[in-house]
Amino acid sequence: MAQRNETMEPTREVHKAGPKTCALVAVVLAVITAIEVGLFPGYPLYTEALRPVLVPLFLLLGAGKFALVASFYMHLKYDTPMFAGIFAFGMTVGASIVISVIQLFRHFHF
Amino acid sequence: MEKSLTPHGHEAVHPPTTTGEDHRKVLMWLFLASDVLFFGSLIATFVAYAQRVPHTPLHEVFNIPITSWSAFVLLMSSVTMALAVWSAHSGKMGLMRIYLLATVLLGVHFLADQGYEFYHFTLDGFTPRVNPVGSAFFTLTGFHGAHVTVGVLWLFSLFLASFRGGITPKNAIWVEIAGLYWHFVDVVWIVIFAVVYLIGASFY
Repeated sequence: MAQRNETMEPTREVHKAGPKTCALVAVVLAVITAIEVGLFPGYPLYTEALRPVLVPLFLLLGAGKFALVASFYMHLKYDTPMFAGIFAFGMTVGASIVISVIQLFRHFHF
Repeated sequence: MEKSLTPHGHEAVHPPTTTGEDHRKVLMWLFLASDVLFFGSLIATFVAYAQRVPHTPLHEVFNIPITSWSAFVLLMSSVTMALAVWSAHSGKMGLMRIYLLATVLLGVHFLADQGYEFYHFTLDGFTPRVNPVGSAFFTLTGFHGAHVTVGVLWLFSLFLASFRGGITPKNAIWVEIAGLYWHFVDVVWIVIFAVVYLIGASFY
């Protein structure tokens, strides 16, 4: 008979990101998003001098947010490296597809 | 042998896995890795067309304040989802329900924002039929919206199942797997927001 007691013992997963870590990561994510939006042309943090580095800046800030969510909320920081390996493989192939398609479109007229 | 409960509350006995990890979790990670390729292709198509198709004033079409708010809402839904997973593993089932419901509501909020955005795009003449950039944009964001919709339905079903004893600390893995899917939907939006909206509207 299945036990349905709602105060069952906690599982071994409890040591993963708790409320404090989640809240701290949330604040950092919100700050990075605010910086991203602030750097958009016409917004307070934007200056013409930043225009040449705007693409790398947006990509870097986005990558930072991506890494935070994947590490703490998706538990890649705490779980077995196998999961990080599987995801990294997908990301590597995915990034290769993105770069290949963009380069193909640049060099050939479709 | 490891014992756990199925979503219907039945006791299940699992043999040790060859990886030492729950196969359901391994399967979800494999699915997410394959979904990266799917979204990678769609993002690449959008970028490639945005560079080649002239006269697509994305900076005039996109409403950055609304999209920024949507991005923030989806980020915060990841926080509530992470807290729901933590609550489930900690045996705090009441808290888990609150966080699950909060995640669902934030997801619905995001979808409502997307619907509002799409409506105004079409009013401004930016439709899937206007040019290849429009097609690529609506295909990419539409598929992302479909992923969010599936996530909202999945999380709401877990919320309902928790009242029938379907979710307990022993089978909190179901919440964790749904959480992985939800966080993936969030990280995809992080990339779309940066590449399509911020970079797209800054340069096109």
